[in-house]
Amino acid sequence: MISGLIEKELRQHKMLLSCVLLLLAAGLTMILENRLVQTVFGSPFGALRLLLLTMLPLAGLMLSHALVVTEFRNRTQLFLEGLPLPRWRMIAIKYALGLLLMLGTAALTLAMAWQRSRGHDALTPRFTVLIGLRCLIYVWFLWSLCFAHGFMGRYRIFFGTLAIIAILTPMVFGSVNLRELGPFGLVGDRFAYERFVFPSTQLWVSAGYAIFWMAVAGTLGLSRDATIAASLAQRMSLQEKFVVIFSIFTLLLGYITHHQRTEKVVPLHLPGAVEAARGQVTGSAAVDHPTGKEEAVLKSIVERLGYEMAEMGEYLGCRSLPAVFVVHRRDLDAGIIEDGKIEKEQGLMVRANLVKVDREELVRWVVREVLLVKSYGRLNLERHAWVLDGFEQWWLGRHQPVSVEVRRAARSAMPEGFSTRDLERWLTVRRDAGPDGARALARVGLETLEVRYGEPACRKFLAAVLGREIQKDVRACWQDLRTPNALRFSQTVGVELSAFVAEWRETMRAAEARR
Amino acid sequence: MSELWKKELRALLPMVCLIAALQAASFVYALMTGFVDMTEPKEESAEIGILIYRGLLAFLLGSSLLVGESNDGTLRFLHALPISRTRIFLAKIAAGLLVLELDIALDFALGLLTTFAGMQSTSEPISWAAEGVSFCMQSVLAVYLLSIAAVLSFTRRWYPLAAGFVVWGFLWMRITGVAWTGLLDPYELLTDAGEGAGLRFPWRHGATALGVSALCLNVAWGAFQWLGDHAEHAADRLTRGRLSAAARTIGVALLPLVWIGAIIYLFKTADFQTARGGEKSFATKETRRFDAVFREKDRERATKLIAKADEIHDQVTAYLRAEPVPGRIVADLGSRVLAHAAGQTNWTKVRVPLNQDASVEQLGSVLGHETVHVYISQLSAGAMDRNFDSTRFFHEGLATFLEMKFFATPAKARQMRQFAAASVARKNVPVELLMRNELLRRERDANLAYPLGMMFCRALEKVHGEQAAGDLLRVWSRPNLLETLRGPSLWRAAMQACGQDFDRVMAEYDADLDRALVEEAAFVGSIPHLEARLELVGSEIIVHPHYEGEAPGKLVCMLEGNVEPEIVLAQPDGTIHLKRSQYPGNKLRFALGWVMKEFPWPIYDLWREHDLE
Repeated sequence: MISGLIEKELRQHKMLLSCVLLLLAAGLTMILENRLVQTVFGSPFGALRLLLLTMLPLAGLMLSHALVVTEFRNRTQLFLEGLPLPRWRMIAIKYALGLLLMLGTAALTLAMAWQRSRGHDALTPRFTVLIGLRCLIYVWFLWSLCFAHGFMGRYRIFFGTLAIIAILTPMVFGSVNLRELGPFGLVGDRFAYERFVFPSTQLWVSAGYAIFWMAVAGTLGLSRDATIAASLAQRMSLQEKFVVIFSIFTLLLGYITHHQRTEKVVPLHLPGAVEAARGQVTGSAAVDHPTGKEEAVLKSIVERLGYEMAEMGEYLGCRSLPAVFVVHRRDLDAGIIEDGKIEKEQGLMVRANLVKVDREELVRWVVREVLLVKSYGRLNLERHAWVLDGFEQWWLGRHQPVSVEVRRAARSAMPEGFSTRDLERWLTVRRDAGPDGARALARVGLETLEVRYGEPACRKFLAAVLGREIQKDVRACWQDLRTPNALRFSQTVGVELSAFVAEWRETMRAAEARR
Repeated sequence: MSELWKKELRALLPMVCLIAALQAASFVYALMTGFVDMTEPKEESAEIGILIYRGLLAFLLGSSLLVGESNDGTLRFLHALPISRTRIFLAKIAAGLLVLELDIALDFALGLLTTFAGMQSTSEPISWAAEGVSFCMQSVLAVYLLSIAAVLSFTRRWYPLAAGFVVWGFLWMRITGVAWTGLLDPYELLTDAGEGAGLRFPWRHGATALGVSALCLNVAWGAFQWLGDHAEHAADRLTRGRLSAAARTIGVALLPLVWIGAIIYLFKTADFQTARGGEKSFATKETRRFDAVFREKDRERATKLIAKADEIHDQVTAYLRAEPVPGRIVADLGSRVLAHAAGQTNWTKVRVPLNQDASVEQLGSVLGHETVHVYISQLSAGAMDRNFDSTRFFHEGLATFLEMKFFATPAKARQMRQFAAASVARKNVPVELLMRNELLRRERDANLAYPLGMMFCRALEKVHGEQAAGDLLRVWSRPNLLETLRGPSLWRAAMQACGQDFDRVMAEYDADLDRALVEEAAFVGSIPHLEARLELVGSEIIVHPHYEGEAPGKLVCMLEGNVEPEIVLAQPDGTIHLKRSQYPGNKLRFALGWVMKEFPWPIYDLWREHDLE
C-alpha cells in the first residue's frame, strides 16, 4: 500500500517534481557560474548557501503546494480516505517523499560545490562533516516548515509574512535574535567558512524546530477528520484577499510603530567626566592631559550649568530635563558652540573651547537647546517661538532690570502696530528684526508680564508653555490645537493675550518716552 | 454607458476600499510616530516606496481588469447588451485609472494637509505649479503601470512570469546600460519637480511613458476584442494534451526562477576566472597558522609568501591581543578578487591573488591587511560584518592602519596620509560622515574609508593606547549590545562600553587631520581643484574639466550610477565623453578627480550637478 501511495504521488506530480529538480539544477548552475557570486564569496560553498537560502525554500513551497494544498483544495484526499490506510500514514508518506527530494537535491548540490571547491579551499574532513551537517539539519527544518505551511492553505501568505516579521524583528521577542539562532544561524554568514567551531546549539535548536513544525503539520492534517486542512485550503474570495493585504500592511506598520516607540537608547556616560552637584550635567575634556586651568574651568562651567538646569527645571515644574553633556575641545575657536548631535533621548551634548568661550553665551545656548530637546523641537514652532526667545534672554537676567541696550534692540525690533498677530508670525519678526532683536523684544515682553501680573503668573505661563510634558505623537499636536498659547495665557495669567500685548506695546512706548 | 460605468466602479469597490484603508493606515502611522504639524525632511527612499506601492497596486488592479469578466464567464452577459467591446474596454480602463487617480489624490490631499499644518509665516508658499507637475507625473505613472499590467494580464496564469520578465528585463537593460533605457524608467517620473524658475518638467520621460502606454493600450484593446469563445477555443486547443501540460508546469517552475535568477544574473559583471585545470594544477601547504592553497605555476612566490605568513599573523594577533583562530586561516592564493581590491576576506578565509606586478613584500602587506580583517570579524564575533554601513570605515581603517604600521614601507604610509590630507582639503570629512558608509559614498567617495579610517585608528591608538582597538572589537561580541544602533550613536555606545572617550578620539582625529594638512601643504597644493563645463554635442555629453596649474595625473569622472558609481577616464585631450543615451535624464551628477600612480584610488573633488536641458 505504501509503495502504491508513493507511486501515486510520483505519478500525480511527476511534472512538477521534475520541474522542481530542474529549478534547483538551473539555480545551482546560475549561482555557481555567476562571477560576482564567486568573487564575493570566494568559495562555491558561498554559492551553495545562496541556493539554500533562495531556491530551496521556493522548491519546498512548490512541493508542499503540490503534495498538500492541491490535494486538500481539490478534496482528492477523500478518495484516499476510502483506502484501508490510516490518515497519518498518508500524511507521513507525503512528508517523507518531500523530505527525500529536498535532501537528495541538497546532497547533490553539496557534492557539486565540494567538487568545485578543490583548488580554492582546504577541504578537511572536519570542515566537510560540519558543512554536511549544517545542510542536513537545515533542509530537514525547511521541509518541515514548508510542509506545515502548506496545511495553512489560503492563509499561507499571511502566516508567511507573520513569520518573516517575527524572524527579522528581535524586538517582537524581546532580546531574542532569531537570525542568530537555529536554522538561520546554520546557514548564516559563516556557513561557507567556519571550519572548526561545531554549532551544536544551532543544530539542536533547528532539529527542535523541525520536530515542532512536523507536529503542527500533523495536528492540522489529522484533527477533526482533516476538515480544518480542507477548509483552509479553499481559494480566497476577492474581499478576503483585500482583507489579508490590508492586515499584512497594518501589521507591518504596527511593527514599525512599535519599534520606533520602544527603541532603546544607550544612556550616555562620558569617561572621567566631572558631574555637577545639582542638575544632570556632566562635562569632560576631550584633550590630552588637560591643564589645571582647563580642569578648573570645566568644573566651574559644569557646576554653573548644573545649577541653571536645576533652577530652571524647578521653576518650570518639569518632571525631568534632558541630561546635558559638556565637552571641552581645545581645537575649537572661541565663538564656536557645537551641537554634539546625540540622540534626543540621550540628552544634549555641547562642544566648545571652554577656556575661550563666552560663558553667558554658552549657558544661554544650553538653556535654549535643552528646552528644544525636551520638546522634540516643538518649541521652535512659530506659535511658541516668542516664548522660547524671550525665556532664553530673560532666564539669565531675571534678577536684573532690562538693560538699555536690550530695550533699544527691542524697540527697533517691534513691528508697527505690534499685536497678537505678530506673536503668531514670530518667525517673520525674527527674520525682519534679526535673532537678537527678536530675543530682546520677547525678553521685554516677559519682563512686562512679570512686573504687571507678578512672578507667579509669569511662572505659571512659562511652565504651561515650556515646562509641559510632550508626547512624540499626534497628542502633542492635539494639545496645541485644543489649548493655543492665547488660551494658555488667559488661563494662567487671567488676562487676554491681546490685552497684554497692548500693555507690552505701551511699556515699550513709555520707556522710549522716558528716554 | 453610464450604467456600464457604474457597474465597473461597483466591481472595483473592494479595491477602492482597500486603497482608502491603506491610506488611512499610513496616515494613522504618521500620527502615531511623529508630529504632523512639523515639516520633516523627506526621506530619500520615499520615491522608491511610492513606486513599489503604485506598481503593486497597478499590477493587482490590472491582473483582472480586462480578463476578469472572461475568467468568471460574465463576458457573455455583456455580449447580450447593445454595447460594443470598445466601449466596455474604455469603461474598464477608465474605471481602473479612476481608482488609481483616487489613490494619488488621497495621497496628495493628505500630503497637502500636513504641509498646511506645518506651515510657518516664513515658509515658502506652496508651489502649485510644482504640485501640479508632480500630480501630472504621478498620473502618467499610473497610466504607464496600468497599461503595462493590462496588456500582461492577457497572459492569464503566466501573468506573474510575464511581469517578472518585464521587470527584470528592464532592470537588466538599465544596469547593462542599454541605450535610452533610462527614458523608460518609471522612477524618473517621480523626481523632484523643483520650484519657481527651477521648475523641471521631465517631459522626455513623460512623453515616453505615455507613448508606451498608448502602445500597450492598443495591444490590450486588440486582445480584448479577440477575447471570447473563439479565443477560448483556440486556447483550449493549445493547452490540451501532455505537451502543453508540460509547458504549463515548466512555466510555473520558471516563475521563481525568473524572479530570483534574474537578480543573480544581473550582477554577473565582475572580472573573475574560475580556477580551471583540475586539482593537479593546485598545491596546498600548511603552516602553523595558515592552510595555503595556490597554483603550481606560482609555487616559488607562494612559498616565499607562506614563509612569512606566520610572522605576519603573529604581529596582528599581538597588536590586537587576540587568541589565534581555532584551526587555521585558509589563504587562497589562486583565486581572483574584485577588480578594485588587492585581497578579500570572508570570516577565516583570505584571498590574496599572487599579482605578477607585486613584490613578495607587497603581497605580505596585503596578507597582513586581510589577516586584520579576519581578526576584526573574530573578535567582534561577526557583529562588525553585520553592520557594515556603520563599521566599514573601522574595518578598512584598522586593516590599513596596521598594514601601514607593520608591513608597508614608510613612503607608502606617508602616501596614505597625503591622500587623506588632499581629500579633506577639498571638504572636511567629519567622523560622523565616515560612520555612514552609504552617505559617505553619496556625498564624497566610499574609498575614503581606507585613509580616513586609518586616521581614526591612529587617533584611537594615540588617545587610548595600543590595546584600544582590541578592546573596542571585543565589545562588539556582547550579544544585543549594539543591535539597534547605527552610525555615531553606535560608535559612541561601543566606545563607552569599553571605557573609551569618543569625543577625545574625535578631537584627536580632527587635530591630526589639521596637522596632516599643514605638513602636506605642498602636496595638497600641487593637486588643482577641478571645475567643469558641460556641452551637449549630438548624441554625446562632453565634460570639459578645467583647472589651474599642472596636472598631477590623469583626469577621471565618477558618475552617479544605478547601483555603484560609474567611472569614466578622460580622453587624451582631457575631455570626458558620455553617451546621452546612457544619461537621458534632466540632470547629471558627477565628481571629477585625479588618477595618480602612487595612489590606489583617484582623489576626487566634490560632487556637482548640472542641468542637461
